[in-house]
Amino acid sequence: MSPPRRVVVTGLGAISAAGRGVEPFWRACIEGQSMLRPISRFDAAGFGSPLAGEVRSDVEPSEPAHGDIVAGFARIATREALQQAGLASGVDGRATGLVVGTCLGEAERVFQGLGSEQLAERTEPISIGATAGYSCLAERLAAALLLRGPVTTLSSACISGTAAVGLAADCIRRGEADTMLACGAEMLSRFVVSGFWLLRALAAGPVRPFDRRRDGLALGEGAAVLVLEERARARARGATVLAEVLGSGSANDAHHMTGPSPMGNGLLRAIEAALRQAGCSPDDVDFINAHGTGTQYNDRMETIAIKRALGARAYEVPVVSVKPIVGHTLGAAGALEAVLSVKVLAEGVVPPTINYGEADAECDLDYVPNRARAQSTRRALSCSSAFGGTNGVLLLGVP
Amino acid sequence: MRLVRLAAPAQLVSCGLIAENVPSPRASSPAERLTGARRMDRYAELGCAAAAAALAGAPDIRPGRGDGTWGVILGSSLGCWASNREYLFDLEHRRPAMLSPALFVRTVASSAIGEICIAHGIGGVNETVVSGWPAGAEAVAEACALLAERRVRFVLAGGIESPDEVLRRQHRDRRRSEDLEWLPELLEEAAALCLLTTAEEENPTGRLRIVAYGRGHDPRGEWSLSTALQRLEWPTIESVIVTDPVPPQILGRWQEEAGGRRLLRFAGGSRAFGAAGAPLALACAGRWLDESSPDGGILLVARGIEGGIAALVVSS
Repeated sequence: MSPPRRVVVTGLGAISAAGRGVEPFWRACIEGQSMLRPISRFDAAGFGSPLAGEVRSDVEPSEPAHGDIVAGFARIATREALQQAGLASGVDGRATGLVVGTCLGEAERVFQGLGSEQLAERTEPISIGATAGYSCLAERLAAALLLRGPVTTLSSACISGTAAVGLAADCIRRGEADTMLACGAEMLSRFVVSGFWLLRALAAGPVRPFDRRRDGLALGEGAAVLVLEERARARARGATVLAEVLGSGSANDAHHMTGPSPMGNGLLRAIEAALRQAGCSPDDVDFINAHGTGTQYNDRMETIAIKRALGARAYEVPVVSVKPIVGHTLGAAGALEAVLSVKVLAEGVVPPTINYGEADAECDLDYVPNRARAQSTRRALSCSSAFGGTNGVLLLGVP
Repeated sequence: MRLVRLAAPAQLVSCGLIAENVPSPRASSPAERLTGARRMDRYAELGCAAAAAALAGAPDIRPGRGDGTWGVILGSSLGCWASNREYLFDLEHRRPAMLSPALFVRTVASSAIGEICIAHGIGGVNETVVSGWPAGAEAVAEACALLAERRVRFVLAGGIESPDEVLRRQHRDRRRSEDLEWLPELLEEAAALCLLTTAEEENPTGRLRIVAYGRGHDPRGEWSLSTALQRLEWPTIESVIVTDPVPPQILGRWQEEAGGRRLLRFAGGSRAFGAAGAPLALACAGRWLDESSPDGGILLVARGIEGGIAALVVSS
């Protein structure tokens, strides 16, 4: 019997409110520098003029002709990831696939002409298989890279990016492909800003995850891409291995469409599933990237779920949210935070949860308040939760 | 696309089919099944109706409350399109204070999974695949892989398609204006969810097994049916079922490559069911297997117009 196929990360790419590239994102995170600003792309005055993690116009993609802004984000992050992986000159298309996680994909472009049925009739013809705009992004990226392996798109709200990395890793483990690109991508739009404003989920001031005064989230945008490869193959071609994808899990609260399970049941099951797949125990975890939106419900639920999953170990593990820095990038968040987790493993530094000032009795873990900390990390858990009660978790480890 | 043999076959326990004019006596029409629940849109309601029908077909199997051994994996090309359009219309035409937060929540493609999980207490694996028309077949393939890996015991997997009148009209217009007359004229709403489990689970009704799967990307129509068939050593593939959309030149080539095996189009004619097409075909596959030899199998292929492709190998 052949040994199980192991999956490693060999390339990272990102674009966020911190700028183009992984390094600006990582630097903003460890320096605790918030990139949230008033929205400039559209008038958000009717929605409380919230702060958001908008990609600045000078680093926005300059080639939006084929697709919209989100497609440009994905292309930029893909180029960087392939470059780092040493695959910029091309990939073996027959053995390579792509999973994109996104809430809306390029739907914004499709929506632009669809305010009414009359407007709908004036829209350009839209691909029938991709009419809703979800899968255009993956289809175009795959066509540009001549990929013949699994090419798919997941839209599981705010866990989409996490789910994309998990599925891409599974495709390699199962032998469907030897190399996979896992991408999360999302753009800020009136559509999502208005919706979160309606749900009263947007912060009135600074985003303060796990702080007693927390009152909501700030939205963001961007993309992140991870190049995943079968370990033996990556080693054989001399690639630099950055991390290993050890496991992933997803689970549903089966509780409420927007409110998380008060006891964090779904997130607990997702963490357990990721640990089980990895063959790890709670004691093996030494860093947690939290979903940490800064809403009362999420942060309380997440703290409970982590404590139930890790037991006494939960109090010894740093639990961090970087959403006050780049905002909640929705479908991109899971991939962007997977990139962050890989950097934590590689750099030996844990970024802070900024804007933390007042402890909450119900959120009593080590949130690394306000200042980065030097710490060697061997295994990092990255958590996401979403509308519809869905939760997703990744477990990454040093190679 | 590589076809991957499952370490343990998946077993089809029952199906919930909501569609008009499908060649299966088990299918219900939407009018018979949908309840008109106010908090759901038609997309989620179609999914919930199909899930309820699939569970009704296996009365001895029920998830416990928040049961982590059960999962749901859905595929859809359009997702909750109608709710998205309705919300955007309101956003353009109403004051912010007049917008509906409940409608915004329905604009998430995974809303159908959320409703199904809440309704039936399903607390395990969740995935919403939105990769065009092969998404339903991909959802079934992913469910089978997870079952084989013992990461879940039961999965509701399949496809939902809920086009509104705008999309139906666009489909017809594009077909006409771009000379795509090989496409079915009508894009229909449908939902098909299959209750799947591992082959070891006791189940007197389970007869169909999925033994292998594949997914890939083939924008130029280069995928070779004969190569795929040669790599399948077992079971003997006696029929190939393809679901729309497949251009005539590809269909003609596959016919030649099928090498004497029957090549059938599911739901051809004037109607197509998008991502629900392949799960509907899977649910009806027993009919074709009955006509095959006892050792026979079926290769079910779903292709998207943009080049996505997914395959399931089914045997009895």
